[in-house]
Amino acid sequence: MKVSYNWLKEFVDIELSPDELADRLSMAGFEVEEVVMKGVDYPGVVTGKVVAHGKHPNADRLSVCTVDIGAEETLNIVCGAPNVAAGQIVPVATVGTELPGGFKIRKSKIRGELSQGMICSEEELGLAEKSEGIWVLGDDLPLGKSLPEVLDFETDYVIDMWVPPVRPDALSHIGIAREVAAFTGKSLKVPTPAYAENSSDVNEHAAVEIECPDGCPRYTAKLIRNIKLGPSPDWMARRLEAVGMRSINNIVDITNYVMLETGQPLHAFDYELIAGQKIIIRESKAGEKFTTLDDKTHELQAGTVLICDAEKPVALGGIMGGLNSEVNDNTRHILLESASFSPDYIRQSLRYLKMHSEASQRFARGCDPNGVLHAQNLAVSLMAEYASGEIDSGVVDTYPTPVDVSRIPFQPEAVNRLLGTTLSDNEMVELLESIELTVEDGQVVAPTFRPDMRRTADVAEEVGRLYGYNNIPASTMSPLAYDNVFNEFDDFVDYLRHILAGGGLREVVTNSMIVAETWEKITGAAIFPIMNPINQEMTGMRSSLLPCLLEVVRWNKNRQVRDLAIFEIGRVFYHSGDLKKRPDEEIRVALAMSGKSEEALWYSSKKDVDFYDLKGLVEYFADKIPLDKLQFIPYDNFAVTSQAVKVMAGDQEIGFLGKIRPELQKHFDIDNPVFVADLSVQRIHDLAKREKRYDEIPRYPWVERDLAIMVNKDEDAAALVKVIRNAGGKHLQDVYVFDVYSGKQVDADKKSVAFRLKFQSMEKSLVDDEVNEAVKRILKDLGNKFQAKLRS
Amino acid sequence: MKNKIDEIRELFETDLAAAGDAEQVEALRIKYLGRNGLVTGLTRGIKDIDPADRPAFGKMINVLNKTVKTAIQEKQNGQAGGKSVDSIDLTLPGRKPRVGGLHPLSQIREEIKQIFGRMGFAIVDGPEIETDYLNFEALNIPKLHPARDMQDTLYISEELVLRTHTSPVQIRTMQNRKPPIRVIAPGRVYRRDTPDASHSPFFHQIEGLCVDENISLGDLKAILAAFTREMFGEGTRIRFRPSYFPFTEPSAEMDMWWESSKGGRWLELCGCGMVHPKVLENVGIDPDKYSGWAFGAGIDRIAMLKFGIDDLRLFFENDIRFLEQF
Repeated sequence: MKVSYNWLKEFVDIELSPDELADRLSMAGFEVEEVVMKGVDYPGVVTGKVVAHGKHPNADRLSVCTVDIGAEETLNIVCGAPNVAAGQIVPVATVGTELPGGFKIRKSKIRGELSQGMICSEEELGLAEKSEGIWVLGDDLPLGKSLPEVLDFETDYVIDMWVPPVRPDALSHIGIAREVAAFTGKSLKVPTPAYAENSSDVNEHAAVEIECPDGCPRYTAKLIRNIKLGPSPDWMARRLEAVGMRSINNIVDITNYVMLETGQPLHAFDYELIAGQKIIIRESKAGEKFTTLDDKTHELQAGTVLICDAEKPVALGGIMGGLNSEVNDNTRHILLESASFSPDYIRQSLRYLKMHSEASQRFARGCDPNGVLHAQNLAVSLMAEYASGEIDSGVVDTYPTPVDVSRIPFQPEAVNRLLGTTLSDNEMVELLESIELTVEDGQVVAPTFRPDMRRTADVAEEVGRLYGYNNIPASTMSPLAYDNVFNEFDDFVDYLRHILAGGGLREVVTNSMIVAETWEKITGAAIFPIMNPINQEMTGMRSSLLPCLLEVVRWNKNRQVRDLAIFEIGRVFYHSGDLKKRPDEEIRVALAMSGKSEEALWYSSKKDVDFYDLKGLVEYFADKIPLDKLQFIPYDNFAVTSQAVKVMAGDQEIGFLGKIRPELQKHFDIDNPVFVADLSVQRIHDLAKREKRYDEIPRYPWVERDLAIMVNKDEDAAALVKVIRNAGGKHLQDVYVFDVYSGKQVDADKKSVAFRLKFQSMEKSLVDDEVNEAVKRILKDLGNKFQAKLRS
Repeated sequence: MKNKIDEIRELFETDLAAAGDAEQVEALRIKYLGRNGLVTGLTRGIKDIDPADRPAFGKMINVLNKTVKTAIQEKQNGQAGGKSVDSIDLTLPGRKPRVGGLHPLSQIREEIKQIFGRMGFAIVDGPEIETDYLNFEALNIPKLHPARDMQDTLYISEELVLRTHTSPVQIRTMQNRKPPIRVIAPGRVYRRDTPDASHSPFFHQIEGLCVDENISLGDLKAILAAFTREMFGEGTRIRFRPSYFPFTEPSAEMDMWWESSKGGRWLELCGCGMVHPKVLENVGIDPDKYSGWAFGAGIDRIAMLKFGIDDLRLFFENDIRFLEQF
């Protein structure tokens, strides 16, 4: 909402500067976005006379002007405006001038012609939203003068502020002035409009019938005859332009002006285009068509408020007038509507019509039905004065069920309790009265322009706001006990993050919206679609973290970073099969590695990341949690294949890890192989062995034996270890694979696997015989099961 | 005697040249300087020399002793000739383990969690795909409410939305628990915004909620003041401004004074207020008996301020060169 500083001053004495006023408004709940000066006091802009002008030799639309600015030499200025003509006195921005918006005037050549300044339009001076040409000041003004010296132009300031959506009253100058009066301790002055009336009674020439009082609680009309359509007076046009409305003609401008002043939208009909001198307000029927004054035809749904004459609809009530009845060059008499429309009806209609207007914005918030006559009278008085209108006496006023003020119990203790203040009853009453909320018989009486006032909390807000939030003391002692509902899961997730970071992985945070169609094709499973996606890159909710991690790999690859070890802990969403039913959301952790396994430094192996790097990380991760009985079982799915395993803790699946499928890698335009793991955080959490128990440290020395055996090439190490463990007896503590070899010194279908076995007893020092015995058993079992032979 | 000294010197020079690695040098030391070493033997033999010749021979033995000691030491230091296998370049960078790290947003989230944890707040959580009821209706934002225009919503269907704020967690919490309640809920939220330097279609918020008897706006001010102090340092200036949210009444906006190279200004840090009585009624808490406050702040925004980041998109692009800085 843009308000004019000068306009506000008509209703309240303001001693604050525009910037000070803006600060105070922000602190009263109307956050000011900016304050813009509207004036003509621009240093460097002076009056100049266009002495001569001719066509630019190299450009059709430009002309070259000779301009006299009262100096010894005339200026040569290239001008693009269509309306420039010899003899005009115009504002000239001389070289060195900085215009609003920071544009600096320089001496330059424009298409080869010298230009020593600029002839300005109102738009360029920040006075209008849009100008068609240069601003012609007149033809008889002194030259070389600054604009304030020769023009009668009052500098104004436009304050652009946010207004709470439940405060329709504040979408008006009077509403804001009321607030200003309250916080500056001044009184609000709203003059009563006055005008002379004819003897002709409007009720004999117009009738109003409301068929849907729910949608239109009140409708009033006045008749203004013999108007002279023309431009608005300068001051009115200026004010409208200043707050962002274009000046059109005196009648339309007056309706807009009154709306901006009072908050009540009005509509002017051409009286002679209203058939039967009658207005009927009814709800639309589904499928009805109507053409609004912007020449757009709308197909209506049922339940939109329609203003009709005896034959046809003439306006969408509270939204926009019709093309068939708008004021035009031939209009002689005006039927002026000032009415009240229900917010719910308006919002419902706006929703499907996809329309937005200054009027509908106000009705959607709820205009005061008891304010319609003031606005009506103000507009009529202005039409009498500025459009020579003659006014029929009386008013057509249909108001079947008048709306009364609302009354809220006045509960000072409750207010103090909510705010944490100790205000007395009188202090509260005084604060409330400053914005016309009165206290009578133990009740706060809220005028009808404040439909947001419903209960004590609303009263508390007004009291707190007017008292000043910053004057409310911050409590020194909190009255609340410690909340001991401990969220162990959230802490666990944080713990995982630290483990992974400690393992050398970098955490990433990615978008959970992905390209649904592509991922569905890859996974073969439907994902939750977004009904109104922002763009085609974000059409569904991810069902896996992998596309997001691969996207990060791609992003970095395109920026020359190919060596990556990253992880993300985030939510994925599983289609519930029904778009009305919430999907299952699961927190998962995904890891991805690509490029070199170490930074390429003098000592490093310069080795590419492989399956075992990632598997090792997952093992480390499981060890830190800790997870017991980790198993890796060959596996493949949509994402991984060949070098891929399912990760199990005991008999529970917790996820998978492996090398990304080549087609997926290609899809993400990644050239290095990527190894990924994707695990369920919930599962990990549930299986984690949280309790830590101390195990006695063995006091007796251990005995190590190394065992290199030959087996068939396709035997799994894990199976061999399992047999060794089973055969090793109770003293076998650990089995490590310390070498795997296949090559020259081994038969082509064989491989050599070397184990280091560690034997230890808690009770005694082991003797060689005991260990030899165990090794013999191991070799025997390995021989039986795998035809393994000790490598000689 | 002199012959013996020369013999040992010659032998030592041969041995020294042959000694390659540290082990061999150590053997060399033992052979000559050890308890039964050759040079040690000579020293010990001084007493058997004719007293008249003792000073001259003593001096020669001492010189030999020093030469051997120095040579061995030099070899041990890897300086003998500078080409020995034992010498290392001390200026090469050390071997470092692969370094990982937490995303800056996780770091800030954790810090916030710790600050509120110290003040006795528990962490709660809710789904990111929320019902229209919990995201809007229960929070006093009915279908046609003008406040729905305040946030552009991403929909799954008429019934489901990507939550536009963490506030539905307030409802979930109050539905499941009775006062006293004192919780925070960090989480991801979504808006239908095209990404630019200050907008992202998804971002992170932290919701705070406190409900009990006699909870006031003064309490809210105290907690938020403590939070900003801990997060941004002692002496951080804040102010409260009236504002509007459908689910709080009174509603406020908290601003923080922020100094930068461009000068100081007030920055909006969080929206807050007293839980609207209608919201309390919606979850079956009697607003005449209980009151509460709630706030919502942007985790990403706090992180941007703390780390001096001027483009929100950096968080989600995950450029390693960005992440490495935290």
